[in-house]
Amino acid sequence: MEFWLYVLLFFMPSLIEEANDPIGAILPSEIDPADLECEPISTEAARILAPGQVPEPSARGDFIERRAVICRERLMARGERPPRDDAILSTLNATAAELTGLVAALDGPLAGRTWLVEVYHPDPRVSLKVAFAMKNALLDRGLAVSDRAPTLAAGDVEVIGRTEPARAWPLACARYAATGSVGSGDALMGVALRDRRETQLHVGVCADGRWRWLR
Amino acid sequence: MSLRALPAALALALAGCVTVYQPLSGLNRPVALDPGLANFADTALVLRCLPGGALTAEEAETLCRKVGRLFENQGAQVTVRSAGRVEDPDTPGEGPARAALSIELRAEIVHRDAKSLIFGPLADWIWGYSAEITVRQEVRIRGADGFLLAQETLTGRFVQRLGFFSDAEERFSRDYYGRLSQLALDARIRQQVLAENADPGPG
Repeated sequence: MEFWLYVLLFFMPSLIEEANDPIGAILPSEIDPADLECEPISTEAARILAPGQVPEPSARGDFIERRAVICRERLMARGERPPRDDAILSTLNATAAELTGLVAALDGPLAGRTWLVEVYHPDPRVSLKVAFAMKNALLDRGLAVSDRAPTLAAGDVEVIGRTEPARAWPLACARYAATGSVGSGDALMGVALRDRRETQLHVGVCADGRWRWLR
Repeated sequence: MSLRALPAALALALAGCVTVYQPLSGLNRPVALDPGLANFADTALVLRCLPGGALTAEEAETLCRKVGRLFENQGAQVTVRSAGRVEDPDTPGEGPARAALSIELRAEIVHRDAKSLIFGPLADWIWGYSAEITVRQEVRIRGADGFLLAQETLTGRFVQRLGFFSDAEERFSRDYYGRLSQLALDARIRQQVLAENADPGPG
């Protein structure tokens, strides 16, 4: 009994400090540390994000060095979906904001057009999610967005499907313009995964029959 | 001490100091490529590991050698450039004159801490049982024309504590080399995609 009292009194400060540490804690955490996304932040930022959890510095001086690490539990546990899709979907909001920012920068020459969105990803479920996020982000930027999907004739689809990716998008863009699927009042934002090994999305714009990659 | 406390005391005595690794920003992102395949076949690559911060000149050289081996194993033609060297683009140096990709690595220590089981000014000196270090590495990847293709901060945290088993080195190597390979591949594909803009197009 005396031994445990000794342990308790002697080790208590460190045990309290480590109780909230996802990897340093003596007792295992309920959440697998691999499913946490942690990032060190400044104590000032931590006081804003989590009021009351990081004490305010004392007016008479703070002799304790404080630091903060913010951890968020991943929406989907590791291994639940393929790594490529996990990388794309876990940062989809930020990617949508970044890609639509590039598109919105074309506001001068393409001002007033209605934007259509087309996404290529090997998994149609991911394509749908990406398209939804891109349309929302375009609307957030005050641009006119249509839910209409540009279409091609069966013969065009067959030819373009057999074309190498570098030529497929410009060719499809030219056909969209020729068939009137992307008219003079429209512009198409094309979002694509170009290689199955990559974890990023590329964006290009089709307007007046001309295609250009932005990223 | 009673006999009932003996197993716990014995376990403490048998435990060693092990390192626990926690991936923070960048290192916890998923990797889609297999670093065991020839992902960079016929790609010329220049590596620069800048000393300073967390790296001495010798450590920077070792890092570049290991990272260079990583990309060579994936089929790249790697040239390691020393940090202080001023390059003349017209003068052919060792290796490829114009690299398809240029990777710059710079490391710094974000936080270092020694924890103690006891309080007091001499606590760490008497018995510092746990040390912690958080290291950050800036990765910048540029194309042949100097265009910045990818930039990421890889942060990892290492905690030393009492324990019996550690796989920190293997886990960190898997995360670090995997993420570095992924960043370089993403940068190379981005470079190829942008090069397809033959005509100025809209805007």
